[in-house]
Amino acid sequence: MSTHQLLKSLSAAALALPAIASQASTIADNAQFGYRYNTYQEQDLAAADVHSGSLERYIVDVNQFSLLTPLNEYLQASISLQFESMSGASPWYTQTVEGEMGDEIKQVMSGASIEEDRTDIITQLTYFGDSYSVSGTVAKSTENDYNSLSGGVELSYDFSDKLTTLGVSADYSTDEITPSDALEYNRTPYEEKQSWSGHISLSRVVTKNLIVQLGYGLFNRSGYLSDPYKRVIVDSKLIDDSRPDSRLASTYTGRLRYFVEGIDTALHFDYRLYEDNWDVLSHTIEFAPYINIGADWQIVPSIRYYSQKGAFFYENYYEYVREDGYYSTDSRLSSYGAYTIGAKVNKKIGDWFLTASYQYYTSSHDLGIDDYNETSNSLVDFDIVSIGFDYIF
Amino acid sequence: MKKLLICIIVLNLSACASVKPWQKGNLAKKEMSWDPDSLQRSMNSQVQASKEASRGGYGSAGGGCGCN
Repeated sequence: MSTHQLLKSLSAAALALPAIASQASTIADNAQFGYRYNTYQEQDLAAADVHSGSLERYIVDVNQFSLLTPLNEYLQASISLQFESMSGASPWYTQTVEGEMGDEIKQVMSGASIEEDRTDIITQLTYFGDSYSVSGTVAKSTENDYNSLSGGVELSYDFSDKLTTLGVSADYSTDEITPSDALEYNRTPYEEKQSWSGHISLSRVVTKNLIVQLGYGLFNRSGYLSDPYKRVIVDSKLIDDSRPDSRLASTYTGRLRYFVEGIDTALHFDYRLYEDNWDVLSHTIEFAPYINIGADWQIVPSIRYYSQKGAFFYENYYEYVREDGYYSTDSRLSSYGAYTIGAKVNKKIGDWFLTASYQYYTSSHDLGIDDYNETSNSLVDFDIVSIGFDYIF
Repeated sequence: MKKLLICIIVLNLSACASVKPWQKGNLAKKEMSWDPDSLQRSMNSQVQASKEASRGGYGSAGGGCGCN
């Protein structure tokens, strides 16, 4: 065989490889089915931080199903279903009580009587051309007090060098909020929210073992962006959580995948900078080595660090009336930092792929790199246990 | 937009070597994809978006939920 013929046959063999990560993904050869069972559990709040209500927080059971199948040479369809069952209690408002060191801010929780189900369905149809793919997505999320309908399009285009891929996506969502027990607790009975987002990314193969991606996203929400279940004490009166009715966010991301041949390991490194016009600014760093052990086992330890600067109107307790009328003591809008550590084990048996994982998330004001506002006493710690499988037909 | 332009320039400068199709074997491995486990990515994204003030960054932001 001549050198030319050898190169030609090697090229043909390489092009027949499964989806190259850098390029517009290729159509699946076979149908694939996936299932995951996840149990999410939040740790109780410290009794010293709670004035009244339950110390217990949420427990959520989540069943996820996915089916992906090629329809013909160019078309692929996929559907994902998610069923959630949630119970527990939620932070309600904060108030001051007289303590040994003067006034102390304590959390008032709801009772542990919240029970809710959620169903989420996502359908996607993708068309694959020679050097591009185009997807259309429709998604619907249903809860007894929240409904969301969204649609999106996504384009992935390989440049002629076959080393660079452009990704562009956009979506729109309309949500309806109908809080439970609205009359009993004097909550708003009906609200709406609209969201749109756009995202662009560029991926580049740098070496035979290194691929990088940079991305930029815009995300806009408008309408009712407050939490109907949270309240705030202001000037001795208990009033509704009240946030601005629009929010525009930008994200800047960098991702890297590097394969270390000597140890048969793929290193994942992801970074995201997020900023929005509520003055929230956050950094997220994730690292995970995918360590192959023999042909069939894989272990994946992981670590994620998150730090955010809180929203401009957040306070743990309002001593004064604000001129803009915005109030929220929701800990998710405070300044804090969080770590997630995780471990996953994957095992391949023929056409079956089994997986089990554990993640632990802990957050506190002290872990944050920004000291913008006071600490919240209802930050959450939780863990997630997941088991499941994928099957290729 | 300025940040995005800088990113694109840096990304293009980084392509110092040409990688031939037959050298992409490692890049084609499942563990080298951006999200090897899409169901776990979906679960994690939802939890993080409902417990933190940030969301998005890796494609379409999608619809919302009343997750508290």
